[in-house]
Amino acid sequence: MINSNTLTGTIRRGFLDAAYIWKQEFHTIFKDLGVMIFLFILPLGYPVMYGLIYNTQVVRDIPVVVIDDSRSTLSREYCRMLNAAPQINIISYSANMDEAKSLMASGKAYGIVYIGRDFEKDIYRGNSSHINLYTQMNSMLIYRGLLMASTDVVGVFNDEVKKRGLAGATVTQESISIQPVKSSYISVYNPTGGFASFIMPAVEVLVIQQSLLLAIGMIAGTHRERNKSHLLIPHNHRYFGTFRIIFGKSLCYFTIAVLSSFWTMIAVPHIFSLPQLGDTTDIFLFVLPFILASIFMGMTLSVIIRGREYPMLLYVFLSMPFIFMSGVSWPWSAVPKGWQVIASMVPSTFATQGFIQINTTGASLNQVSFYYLWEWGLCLFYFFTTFVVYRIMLRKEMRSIIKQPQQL
Amino acid sequence: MKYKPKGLRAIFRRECKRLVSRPVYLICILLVPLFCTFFFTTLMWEGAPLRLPVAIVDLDKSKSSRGITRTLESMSFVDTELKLNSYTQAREAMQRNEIYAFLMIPEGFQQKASSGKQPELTYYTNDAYYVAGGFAFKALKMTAALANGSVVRQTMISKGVPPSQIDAKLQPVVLDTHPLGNPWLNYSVFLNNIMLPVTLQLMVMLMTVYCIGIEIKEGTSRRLLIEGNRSLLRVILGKLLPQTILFTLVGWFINIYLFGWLGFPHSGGTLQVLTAMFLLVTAAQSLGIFIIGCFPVLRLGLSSASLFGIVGFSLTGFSYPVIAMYKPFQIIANLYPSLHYFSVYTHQALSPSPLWYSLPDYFVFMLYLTLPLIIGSRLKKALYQQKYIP
Repeated sequence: MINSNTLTGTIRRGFLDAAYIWKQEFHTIFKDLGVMIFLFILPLGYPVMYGLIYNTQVVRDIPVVVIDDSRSTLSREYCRMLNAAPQINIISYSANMDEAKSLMASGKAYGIVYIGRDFEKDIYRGNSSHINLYTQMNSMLIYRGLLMASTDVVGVFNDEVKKRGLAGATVTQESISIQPVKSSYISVYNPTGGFASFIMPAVEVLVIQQSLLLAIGMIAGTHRERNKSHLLIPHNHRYFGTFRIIFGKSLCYFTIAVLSSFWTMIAVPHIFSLPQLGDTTDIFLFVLPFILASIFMGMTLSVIIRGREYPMLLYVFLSMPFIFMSGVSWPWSAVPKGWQVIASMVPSTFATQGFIQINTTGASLNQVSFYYLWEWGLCLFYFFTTFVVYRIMLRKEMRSIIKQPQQL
Repeated sequence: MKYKPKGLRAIFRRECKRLVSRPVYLICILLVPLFCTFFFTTLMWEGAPLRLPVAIVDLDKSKSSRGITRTLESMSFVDTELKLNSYTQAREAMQRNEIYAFLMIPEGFQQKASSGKQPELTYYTNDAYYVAGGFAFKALKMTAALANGSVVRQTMISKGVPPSQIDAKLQPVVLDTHPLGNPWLNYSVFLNNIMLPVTLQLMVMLMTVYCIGIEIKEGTSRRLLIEGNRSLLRVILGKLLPQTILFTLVGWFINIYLFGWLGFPHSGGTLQVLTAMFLLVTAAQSLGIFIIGCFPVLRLGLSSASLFGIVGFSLTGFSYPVIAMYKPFQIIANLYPSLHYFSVYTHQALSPSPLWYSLPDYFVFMLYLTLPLIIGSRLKKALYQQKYIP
């Protein structure tokens, strides 16, 4: 028997109880299919599924209708060039706007290219000639694809026209360089402009936090439902200490989350050949405070969970606000100040940005020190809140035991 | 124990009482969709991300390079506070996430430009942030084009080309774009018109599964079934009708808030979209009934509804278009009512076309209503047995 009256005895007892709680928590998890789904299937399966959904990376062959009223050599040449652009697939040449519109209305086409009657004549006369592009605006990526392809093709076409001296060429003009200032564009860190390369790091981070929130909430809900007085902490004398409960439980979640984050943040990008410039040790070190902060946030929030189903009702929808708060889709600099304050209290926000910087842009831990320290700050903050709420819960538990001591 | 059979109205009244007495119902039916509406519309209030931090690396420090800097500074998309002195500095700033893009003006730029030696402007964007990179690209590309154009213009004028012809000579063919329904390229219009209905769809499915599953869990489903004269139709209708009404009202509020208050484009198709919103709610409820019928255990039902519902955000295709996905995902995408809502919204409100183009979508909405029939007998058995496996 350990003597609980001495300091070393208390500490030893505390550690043993924490280890006991740690083991108990594993038991709870592995006996519970619902928790298993969110703690294992969600982080293991979902990144792979999202990876597959976005694996095509870019939008190709967007169906487009052409109305060519010019019916000239040049207009046909333009259409050939347009069709050769990877983003575009001309599915039909329509006689008039009504016909083209009906193709768009039935969802068969996403854009209409209209070439007017005087297209070729205007070029030869040296006037500005116009090509009209009508786009369906239900998806930004489709719009962007159509716009980029058309702009590029018009640019090449113009150079061609100028080179051949078609546009009312004169001797003076020939001497003018077409492009006195060259410009080149380099897309760094996501050179193909792939959608998966951009969105997957956010998914890989968020799925860890959501899986922890859901699982911790469900476990807490289950404890409350099983507990006769609907309290969070079991009637078990080994649970009578705030620190040992927090250490025991969080260590259990931590063990699992470290493994699953290795899968989502290291293995998954590798499997899908996504940009991965980061140093593995840096990623590992960076992820630690994020996991801990998520765990403690989950434990703090778990006191409001009354039934085991509540986390699914209250946490699942939050994935979308969380991902938009994180500044990966909607740029962080454009997030209104008020939401920035709230977003910075969510571990996934700066963890996502920091992870993208390390993983995708190859930054060192030193370069993302702000995010790193912030995550440790959140970790401390949520540890403190967890301590407070668990203390209150333990008090309630003690009071209920004093009232009904036979339950022990 | 004997229970008196009651009518549809009694079950409806019973359900209304439950809705009011348990806070989780009102939170999920009203608060969550309204919070999301508030969150996403205020997040993207400006429509386009303005003042994206970008940097200029001016190695020339000449009159021309300062001109280019001023051009870039004048663009509303970008904020060019950071002036750096080398490529390495700029790259490191990008790695620290301080800038989304930068423009390099090489040494000897002005001298080369004036002597016809084609100096080169280089701009870099960080496309790990897709939207930010895209908008920054636009500003930088325009700056580079203007820099080129101004030199050409100078040369042409000095060569005696009449100013009226310069534009046509510079650019014989001009591309005019007509973004139908969203000429401002407002990001909020792109996303919120469809993301909020998908959120609603998720909550409808969860609440449908919850309100049926909780009867089984709490052991009240048998009594409910007997009270409903052993008619599953009556029980389900009575239980779900209050939610149908509330969710539809919330959905319509979202529509009216976006179209009316925020002035999102909706060329006359309001009625068609409102109808689709109502049908989206009923279709999601049917899916919910189907899910709890398949897994008549509350937590399994809810897990399935969550896992299925959350993927709806991807597979509806408002961010990454469905036509770009692999075939199997295109097929699965069709299982989501929100995909058909998206289609009605696109073809009735955004770029209006005759109603009959959307009839297939309305028809699919109707098909969802047959889902509960398939699973009916299984669900009825589960309600009667009310076995709760903890």
